[in-house]
Amino acid sequence: MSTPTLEDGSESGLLERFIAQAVVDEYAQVAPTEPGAPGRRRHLLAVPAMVVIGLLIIVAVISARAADEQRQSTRDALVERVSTLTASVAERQATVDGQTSTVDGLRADVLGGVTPEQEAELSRLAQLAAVTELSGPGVTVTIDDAPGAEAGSLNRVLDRDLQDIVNTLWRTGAVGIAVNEERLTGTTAIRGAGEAILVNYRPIGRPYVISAVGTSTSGQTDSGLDALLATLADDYGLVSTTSTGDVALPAGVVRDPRFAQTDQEGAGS
Amino acid sequence: MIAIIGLLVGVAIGILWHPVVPLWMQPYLPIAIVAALDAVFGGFRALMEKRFDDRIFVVSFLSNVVIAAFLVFLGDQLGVGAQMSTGVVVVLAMRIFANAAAIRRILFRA
Repeated sequence: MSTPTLEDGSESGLLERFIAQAVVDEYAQVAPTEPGAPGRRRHLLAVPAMVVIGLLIIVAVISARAADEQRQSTRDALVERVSTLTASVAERQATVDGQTSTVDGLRADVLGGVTPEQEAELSRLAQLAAVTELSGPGVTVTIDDAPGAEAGSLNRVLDRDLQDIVNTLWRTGAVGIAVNEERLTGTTAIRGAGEAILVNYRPIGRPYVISAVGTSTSGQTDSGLDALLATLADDYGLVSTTSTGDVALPAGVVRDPRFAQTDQEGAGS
Repeated sequence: MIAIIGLLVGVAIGILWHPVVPLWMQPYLPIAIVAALDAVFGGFRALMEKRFDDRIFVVSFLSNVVIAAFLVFLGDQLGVGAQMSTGVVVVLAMRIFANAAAIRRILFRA
């Protein structure tokens, strides 16, 4: 095979030369057999080679398929485990809820002598600490990414946006707030982790529903919240709707303080 | 014809025997197959041109597979295994297309 001349040194010339060199004919030294000459002897060794090639191909196909099956079964096992553990979490949560109400009942028995004022104070504090469910008139804000927003763009709802909305609601007098059914407590953090937003260290998904009980704006539009949502819509195209009405919030999970101790424990140690 | 029967025999052996490929061999298997296909197309073209020779076929098949696997192995050792695989596949695929074009010209005169 002749090598094409390369005068201009252009890229296509280089490529042509490369191809010409790469496809050198292996059988160039063999003269064509005469039509009459016996050519069968030349085919004998090729058969075992073809057997090997067929074997090679089928082995590759089989092993690739086996790897696929392996991956699929691993995935299935993981999915299975996730659903089992999720069910177990739900079960234990139910147990916790039942025992919480038992404890509440026992406490009511023990504190039989408390005055109604003290009881009212207790329930008010429990409400503020977000350890009980809370329902009442309030506001529900639903906010979602801009239509067609790409991953990593500013047209998506960020942790910062949720923080702003929540802080605005606190400022206008909310006594309890939940984001996607995650009740906010004194130790709740709303923060981003990669693509996800974590509330109470749990990832929450779109659309984000922020429910607040007891804002002073119940039944009427609030300029602060509306202004914030309008800004988010204008600047980033975030889609949001606001509605007022009765809102029910779940009880929050209050974690034990890490360093603080009650007086008795402090005295004992 | 007899070569195609050989290929089918190999496929049948593979299906019946069901061999397990060792893990260290798995990256080289696809490369080896492309190299083998190159030899097959070259051999078929030579057959069409009435100058097939089984000795050259076997030698080109073995050397193709060994060199391709060695290049990929070397690339793996140097940390450029993926790029080396790509290069080997590109060159072999180019040869396959060139041989297929020659076969096509002979078979269909087009």
